[in-house]
Amino acid sequence: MIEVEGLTKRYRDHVAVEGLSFKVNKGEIVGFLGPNGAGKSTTMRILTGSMPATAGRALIGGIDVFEDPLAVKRRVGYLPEIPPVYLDMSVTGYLAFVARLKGVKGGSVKAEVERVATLAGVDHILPRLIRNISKGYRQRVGIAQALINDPEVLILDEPTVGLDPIQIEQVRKLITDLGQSGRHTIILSTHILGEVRATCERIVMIARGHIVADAKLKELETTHGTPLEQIFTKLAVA
Amino acid sequence: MRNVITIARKELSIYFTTVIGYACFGSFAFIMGLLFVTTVNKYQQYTQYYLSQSQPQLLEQLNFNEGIISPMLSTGLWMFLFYVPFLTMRLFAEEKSSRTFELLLSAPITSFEMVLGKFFGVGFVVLVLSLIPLAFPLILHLYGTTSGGGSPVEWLPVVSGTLTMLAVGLCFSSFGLFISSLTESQIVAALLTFAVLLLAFLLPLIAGRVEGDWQQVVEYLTPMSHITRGLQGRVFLSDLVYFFSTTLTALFFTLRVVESHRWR
Repeated sequence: MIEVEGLTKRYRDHVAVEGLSFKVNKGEIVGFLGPNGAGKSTTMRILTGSMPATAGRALIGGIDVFEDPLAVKRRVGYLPEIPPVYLDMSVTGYLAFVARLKGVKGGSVKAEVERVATLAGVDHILPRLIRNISKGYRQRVGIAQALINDPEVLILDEPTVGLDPIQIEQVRKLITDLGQSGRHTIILSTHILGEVRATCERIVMIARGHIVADAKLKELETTHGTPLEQIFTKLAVA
Repeated sequence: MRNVITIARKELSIYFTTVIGYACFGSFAFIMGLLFVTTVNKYQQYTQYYLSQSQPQLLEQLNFNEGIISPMLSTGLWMFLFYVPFLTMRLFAEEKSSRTFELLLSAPITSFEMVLGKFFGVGFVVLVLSLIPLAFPLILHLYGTTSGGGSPVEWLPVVSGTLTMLAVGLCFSSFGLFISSLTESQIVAALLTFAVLLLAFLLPLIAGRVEGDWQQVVEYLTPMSHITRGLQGRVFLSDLVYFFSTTLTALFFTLRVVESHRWR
């Protein structure tokens, strides 16, 4: 479903990611791991077409992100690192705006807004201004926004940041439920290792812009003979 | 086109869930109203003066269009100089600073639709601002009298004056939109827009100091030389072309800047 080949992003004198290659099959949930500044967000931005790559290619559902960005964007739901919400809009207004932006037809906008709001657990705060809701709720509105139009691919950049333990549990359940339906392919980035264990089957770990591990979680722990925490520290520093 | 409307609606909804829209319309109407009262007073004084001098030929030259409406509209135009930067500053700068720009960039819409949608959003506010001064000719029409009977207001010059205001407002907005796309800071966007618009208004001063053909070039470039005729009710194709082409140019540059985010 997602194919990345030799993806490189260079700024003037700084390399964010270099020569990344990995594949994600349909229906998989992949944890994108790495220390802060490793290039996780950069890779996700490139995959969603909101940032161009310096070299390499990225395919989503067989379509090249750089050749037909609009077709790719229609199939992808994206939650950036900072939830892209307009503080001066109400939750309904915002979700309806995103729904229209993603091509939901006029008549079904309301139903779609209600559907994603219920999934993300923000259905009881729909009329409130986003300015007046807490950080955790803003994050959940961001998740709701990514779910609009039931995209085949979900790219979630640190989806549980700012949530309380109960909300974290709910979001993790939401992600695993989506994954189990088999229709969604999910990449989620995080540096909370417990989260990876709770939600992901496979991990791709990057450090300083390079892939340092790409395997099923269980295999990784068996080959290294240590728990994920120690593998992470070892690979991130190495 | 659907996406253009979606973006325009979002911009409008933000203008009106915040106080920006109301503050803008309210203060604009208040200042224009104040101006109207003073202009009408001055007009009355002239009438009385001419009457006391018993100079009927001067009295005949006085009319509402030239004495009240067109001076008011021209002051309204100056007010755009202050209002437009505040309206346009947030259009792109706010998206960038609050990271919502990423939503637009990752949404299935083109840069063209994004720019046009934002332009239409602010354009609607400018349209309403240009319509506000229509209240005053209406008042004159209802309560004013002429010696010969009939309407004391000639409506065609009022229409062309309103259209001139709209054209100027849209032209200014396109420059504001362009400058907003260049920065993340709303204050910088407002300041630079104001500076650029003020400079455009001050070009006639420069025109006096340059020589030869350049003088004509500078005179052509300033909006001032394309406003006067429209306010007097004389519609010139060259003026329309001026506003149309400057607006399109600014929108084109905005589009280039927005697109550059997709390949930088």
